[in-house]
Amino acid sequence: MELMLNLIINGLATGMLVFLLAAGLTLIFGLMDVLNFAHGGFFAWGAFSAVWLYSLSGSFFVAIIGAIATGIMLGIFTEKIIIKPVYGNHIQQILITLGFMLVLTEFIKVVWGPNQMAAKTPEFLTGSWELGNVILIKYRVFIIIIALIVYSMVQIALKKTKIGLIVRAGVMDKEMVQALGINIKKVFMFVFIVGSAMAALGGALIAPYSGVVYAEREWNMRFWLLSSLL
Amino acid sequence: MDTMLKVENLQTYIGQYHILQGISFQVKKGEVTVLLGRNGAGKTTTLRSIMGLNPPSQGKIYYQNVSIEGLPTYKIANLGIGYVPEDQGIFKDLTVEENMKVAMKKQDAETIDRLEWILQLFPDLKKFWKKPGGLLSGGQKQMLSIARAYLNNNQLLLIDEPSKGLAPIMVEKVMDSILEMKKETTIILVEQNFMMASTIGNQFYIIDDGRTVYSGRMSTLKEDEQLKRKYLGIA
Repeated sequence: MELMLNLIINGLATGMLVFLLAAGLTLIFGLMDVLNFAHGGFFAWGAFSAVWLYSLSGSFFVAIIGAIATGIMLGIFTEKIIIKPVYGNHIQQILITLGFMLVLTEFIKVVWGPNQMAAKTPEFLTGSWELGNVILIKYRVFIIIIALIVYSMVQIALKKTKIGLIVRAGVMDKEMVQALGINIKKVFMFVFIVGSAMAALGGALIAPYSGVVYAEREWNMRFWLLSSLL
Repeated sequence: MDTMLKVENLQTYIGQYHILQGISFQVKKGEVTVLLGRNGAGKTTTLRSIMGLNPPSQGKIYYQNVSIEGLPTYKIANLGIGYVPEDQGIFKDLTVEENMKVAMKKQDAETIDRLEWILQLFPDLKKFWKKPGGLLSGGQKQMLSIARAYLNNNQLLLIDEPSKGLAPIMVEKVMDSILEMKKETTIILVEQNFMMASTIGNQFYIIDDGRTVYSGRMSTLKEDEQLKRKYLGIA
């Protein structure tokens, strides 16, 4: 029974990380009809920038915010330069975003070198709680809590705000949204940035979870595929 | 009477097909201008070209003397042009309230008053206010689509076949609502139902094979059996 509970907690923590990746990918595909293979690259950049910022500042909070900011900047750049010219063409989207993912992965080696980087868990999140015979690893509980907060925020934004209404309407009928006087391209940009930031946050959270980050395509692709399947 | 919209030699391609090959017409302020013609003549594409959804390759469109061809759809809509598409364009998973909220540009007292007035005009929308748009009947969807386009005090409404697929009782309701809106707004109406078109319309243009081939006052068309037979297939 204890083993089962431990496995559930572990599974939930991994699932929540995949959720952070998948939610952004789903929003981007659902609204913009864009197949973004570079999404795994945002995830990797989030992980590396968080590890780097944590080693520089010593603050996990700064590392997380920095990773989100990295995701936002990458999102803006990617949408404006990479995605904009290929709206409506899936083949071109697959080719250019797959290529961009390779660029992002290789560029990590340029910035942080080709070697693996150790990712430390912040002290206040190391160790575990014992509830009877059940061991709750603090960092995994933290991931679950953060992902639940992000999930609630996304739900509130989609259901209770005007921009959320527009995003939901845009998924159903982009033309009609424009005919109601709404600049759908700005909404696209916003959604892309949110999706990218969520992927980067996922990367920042997984770094201490796996203990090490490395700039290999397989690492990015594994999470891209997982989130796509989800 | 002032001209609200002027279309000159509009030419539009959809893919490789040359759909509009020379559409020209004028819409006078405060009137209902009806575009008539057989299926596939180019009426819907004309409205979509005005809205920028199928941008024209040639020709000019002036709205209140400002050239609007080539503008993105949202800018055209924000100039004060409302659009009711043939398929109604309802966001089916959003409630009636949410459908209206997406369209609402301002939440000032004037818009709220206008919404109240619209809900009096379409009481069914008030009744199903919290229901998803996809669960409404065809007539109710049409009412929601018209209400949404009318919410922001648009000066010009483009309404595409509002009677399509509706039961006669619903056609009457929709027609009554358009007659009510006609008092305050200029309307371009695409309509196959000649009874409805002739009741509401002031001016008509007949479109055939992507060209405007005939125009005149609606009162003259009602009496011209030959013209109705030739272009509309009715007598």
